[in-house]
Amino acid sequence: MLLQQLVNGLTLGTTYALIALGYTMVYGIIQLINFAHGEVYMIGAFVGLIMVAVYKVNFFLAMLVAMAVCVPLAVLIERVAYRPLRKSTRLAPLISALGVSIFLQTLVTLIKGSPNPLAFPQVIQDTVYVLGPVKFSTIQVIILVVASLLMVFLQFIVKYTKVGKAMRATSEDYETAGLMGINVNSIVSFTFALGAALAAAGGVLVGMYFNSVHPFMGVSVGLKSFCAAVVGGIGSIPGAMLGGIFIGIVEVLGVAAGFDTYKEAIAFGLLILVLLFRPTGLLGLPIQRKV
Amino acid sequence: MSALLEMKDITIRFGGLVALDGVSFDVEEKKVVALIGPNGAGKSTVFNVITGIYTPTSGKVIFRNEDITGLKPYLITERGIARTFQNIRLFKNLSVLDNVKIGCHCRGRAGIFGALCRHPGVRAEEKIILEKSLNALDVVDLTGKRAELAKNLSYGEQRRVEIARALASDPVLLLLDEPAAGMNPQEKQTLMWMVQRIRRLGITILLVEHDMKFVMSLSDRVDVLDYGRKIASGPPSEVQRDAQVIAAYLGKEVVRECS
Amino acid sequence: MDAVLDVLTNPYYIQVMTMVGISLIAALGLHLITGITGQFSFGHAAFVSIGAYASALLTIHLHLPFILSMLAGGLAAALCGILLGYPSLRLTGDYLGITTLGFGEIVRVVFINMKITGGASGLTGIPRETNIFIVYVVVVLTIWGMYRIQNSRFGRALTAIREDEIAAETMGINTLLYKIKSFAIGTFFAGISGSLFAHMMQYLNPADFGFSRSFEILNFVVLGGLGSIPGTILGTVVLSLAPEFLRFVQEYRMLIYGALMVFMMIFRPNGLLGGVDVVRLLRSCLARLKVRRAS
Repeated sequence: MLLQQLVNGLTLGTTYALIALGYTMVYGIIQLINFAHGEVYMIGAFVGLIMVAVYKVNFFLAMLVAMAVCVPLAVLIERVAYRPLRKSTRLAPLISALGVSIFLQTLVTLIKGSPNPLAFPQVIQDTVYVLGPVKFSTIQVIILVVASLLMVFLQFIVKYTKVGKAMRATSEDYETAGLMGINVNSIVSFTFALGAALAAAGGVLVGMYFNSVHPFMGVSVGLKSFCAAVVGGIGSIPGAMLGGIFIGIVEVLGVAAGFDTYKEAIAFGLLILVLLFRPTGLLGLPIQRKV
Repeated sequence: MSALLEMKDITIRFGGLVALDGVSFDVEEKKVVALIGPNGAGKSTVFNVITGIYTPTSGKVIFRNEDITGLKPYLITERGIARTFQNIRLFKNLSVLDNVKIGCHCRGRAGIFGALCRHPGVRAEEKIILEKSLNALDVVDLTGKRAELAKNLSYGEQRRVEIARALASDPVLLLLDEPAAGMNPQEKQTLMWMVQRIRRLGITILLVEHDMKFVMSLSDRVDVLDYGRKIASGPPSEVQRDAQVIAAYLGKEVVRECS
Repeated sequence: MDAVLDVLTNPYYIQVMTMVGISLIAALGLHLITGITGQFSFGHAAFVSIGAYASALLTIHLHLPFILSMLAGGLAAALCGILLGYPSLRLTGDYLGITTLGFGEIVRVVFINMKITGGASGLTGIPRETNIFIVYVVVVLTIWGMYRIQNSRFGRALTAIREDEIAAETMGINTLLYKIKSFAIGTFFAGISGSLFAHMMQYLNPADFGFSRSFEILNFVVLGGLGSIPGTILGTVVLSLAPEFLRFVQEYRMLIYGALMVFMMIFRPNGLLGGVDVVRLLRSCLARLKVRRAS
């Protein structure tokens, strides 16, 4: 029973982790809480849904198309709403991000005609695999496998490619990276693109898992994933994965323990507890006061 | 009679790095003491330990016979130690006068209720704060710039506002962290007069400075730090000839070649 | 003339103006926390809701006079502000913002789960006590209080913390204590605003106090001009009325609202009145007028 809940928590948590990665990478590079990231995830889910329901394409192809739509969208958002504000006060890009968020939610509601959820067509034969005391559904297996592959791929890019090295340099010191001949603007765009690709995949996977897609789905999941990024230590990629899985498992266990009406508060409670004891998150480095 | 400030065997580590290694020195009342040493020797760290921004790993800071080690910075200011910063830390978007008024903070009492009802006591206090601030600005010759925003002043003027702000807290001991950095020779000369003026007010001064002419002509005693250790101490003329000091600044080879 | 009278007596306009006043009180509270002290708070609506529920329950169950329950609502919010502020104001910048955001969501969920607050279906039966006169008396008092606070030893200490926390501390300011005090006053006004809201709507629902409301209040403070009282007033009035004026575009209303937020930030990143000293501007205008009259 507990083991089963852990598996469910792990599944939910990896989807949080996928989205949290986008928050954490962007924050790591330009110290911006990208509140519009949840909307990128929501649009990813919609694109996936349309591909599957209208064009009857294969599920994986639908996910790729969702990524292909969300990547330029996120790059465009950065270009229009954040880049002009990179040198202004901390709150200005934050407000701008919220504006983008409201804009996209309304836009999707308008196109769709109503804010009500749509069901995701059953595209995958849902068989249940039994492994000892634990049951896996096909969807759960797909989520775990796809998410793990994407995260491994991300780690590969960040650790072993030239652009990854440039990303790490930029997040270490934005100014100096620029002086060392790194085109920081394109690195920022690339970071948004990576985050958006992961979020789009997350959107399609979650849409399928919970069988529901609606224009405001990015709000709650976005905030929780953001909590995950902070709990893990914002700016840290392994931290976002750890934080996502941690929050997913605690949320599922909390609901199983009878706190289902408090479900929406669990992630935030965890966030506050972690911050009070480890002010920079589980894997974040402590801040040294500079004088 | 013990010294005004006594640093006793201060050691501070940041992770593996030993920033200060058993540093001890005294600052006697009404003296000007200079702390010199190559970059990274730990001079600013000494200031940060004295003012409570860092707590030393071991050792004690004694001020007027009271142990102030590990006290919060605001409590240390209340006890009569004020400072300036190496990289200017003014309240940039406030006027020069407001900057200095904030320096008076620890000598005032008015709180939220005072702010709201402005009873006579509060008004009297505001008047004293204003007078004190104008006096402090007068010491650094900036009374005329009091209405300007701090960020609009020249670099040298900003350094002087920092000094005025520190003076406004009625310090017994004033710590100046590279006050002449980035100033032209003329500005340095003016600054020198100002420091002497402050000294005549009866305020003890501990200063970190790279400009040797400045240090040598102002200070009664010079302490030299290198790699977190004190390597020499004495009147300026003696320290200037100390072989270890020359080695620290110019490298050991130079000393060997010269001798 | 008739048209003016019509506007002044039209119950709909009065309702809108009352709401603007109520929002303004909450926004001025956040102005002190974010604009003056420089501390991020992304959960201001939670304190509004605490004040609203506390005062509503006091008038419903204890039949307290409105003025007392309003003060109690303010104090309840301030108490929660202190309880949250004490541990979390050690955090800086974004981390503080995130913690307050989390707190806001937790408060909302707690109100949904409580029996006495009517849960998710809301709290009804609150007597109507608020009217436009009471609201604007409180607004004027709040503005006056904020001006006095800003031009005092206390207010200078707060601005010092905003400008440079380490320098403020070495100038003798107990920064944590002052941040908590600023938080307490700011949340107090949030609570007062909530009490007025509760006794105007006569109905409360936790859904009205989610993080989107918190960000709306933050918007009021930032878009008008962070750190300026006239800016906060302008931001609140413009943004509260914007949805009303945008009614003609109907379903595109929020679309335009979102786009406006982005454009306003890009063209005036410091807010509409950012960097404008309104008092000084008015004074110089008056002086110029006098000169002209004399000549």
